[in-house]
Amino acid sequence: MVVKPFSQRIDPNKVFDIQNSQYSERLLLADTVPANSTKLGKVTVANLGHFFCQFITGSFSTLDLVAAVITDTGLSYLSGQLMDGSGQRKLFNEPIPLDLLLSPGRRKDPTSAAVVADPASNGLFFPLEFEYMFTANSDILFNVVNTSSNPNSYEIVLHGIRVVSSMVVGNRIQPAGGQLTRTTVQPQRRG
Amino acid sequence: MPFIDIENLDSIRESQPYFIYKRIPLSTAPAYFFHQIDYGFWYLLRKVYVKYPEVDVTGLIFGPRLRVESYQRGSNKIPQNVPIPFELFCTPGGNSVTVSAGGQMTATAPKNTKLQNVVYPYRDNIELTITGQNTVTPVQVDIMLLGYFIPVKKLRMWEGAQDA
Repeated sequence: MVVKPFSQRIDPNKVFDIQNSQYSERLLLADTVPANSTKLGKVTVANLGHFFCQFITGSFSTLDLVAAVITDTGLSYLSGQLMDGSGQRKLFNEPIPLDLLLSPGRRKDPTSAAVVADPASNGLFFPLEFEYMFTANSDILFNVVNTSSNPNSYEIVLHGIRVVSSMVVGNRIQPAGGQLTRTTVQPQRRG
Repeated sequence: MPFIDIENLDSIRESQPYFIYKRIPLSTAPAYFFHQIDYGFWYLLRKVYVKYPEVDVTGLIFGPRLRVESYQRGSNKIPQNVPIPFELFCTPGGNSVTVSAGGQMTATAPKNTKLQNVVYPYRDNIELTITGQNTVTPVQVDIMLLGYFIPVKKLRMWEGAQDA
């Protein structure tokens, strides 16, 4: 979606009202997976409100031991399976190699023995589409397998919108200085 | 950013992303990708990501031109006239450097891909047939389908214990 913030007249009160109930947010999930191991990474969605994820970006290291030397081979050793911690709902059928999922993908790692000569990190090409509502107080789990003989790390960012609890239950938001009138959202009873 | 109102908040939470991944050994052509959709969900296939090597462990460049043909068995459709080369609807990544004996592929980032927007009904098979096998060495093809499960709400299974 192309956002043109100045293509129309901006009503500061209305914009502030919207921003009080939901706003763009990012959650970082980062971990290091030991050699030839599996590790469960986790980030918690705070009780502030639901998190509507829209896109994922991420990078990871591609290290291995070659003749007992830490080498950046450029191969993808990490596979991951994303899960919604509430109900343990699996969002992938099985662990998927991270190089199929994540842009920019491979990154240069300072622990490599030939870090100066290693190729530069990949550039961000585009974020992966991933639309899902993680509920407040739930955990986002990422079960990652490392098939390398050296630890490898990853960082993923979930880009989305925080829908704050007061909006979810239909409460009005009362910022300091007075109550704003909500015209966009009205609580409705679902039959 | 889009505004999520209370009315559509629940409808957003009904569907869920579900990525389907398989690694297909391509020792002899054709090779097949099968995945049966669970009961109770339709599957909205949005994009297809594919990776396969064009260089083997010895550095030999063989340049396979793999082609794919999809079938929709539930509706008895074959939605293409002939098998389509992979690179004409997605960008096969990791196809320029090396593949190890373990089948790992160079960690290039996923590139652009054409939107598919195909809906498979529940219990249908997602079926892809891959041809265009090289003659030099077996390759492994990584395929990931990016899509969403959409519950079919009219089914009794979604009514819970209310009618029990």
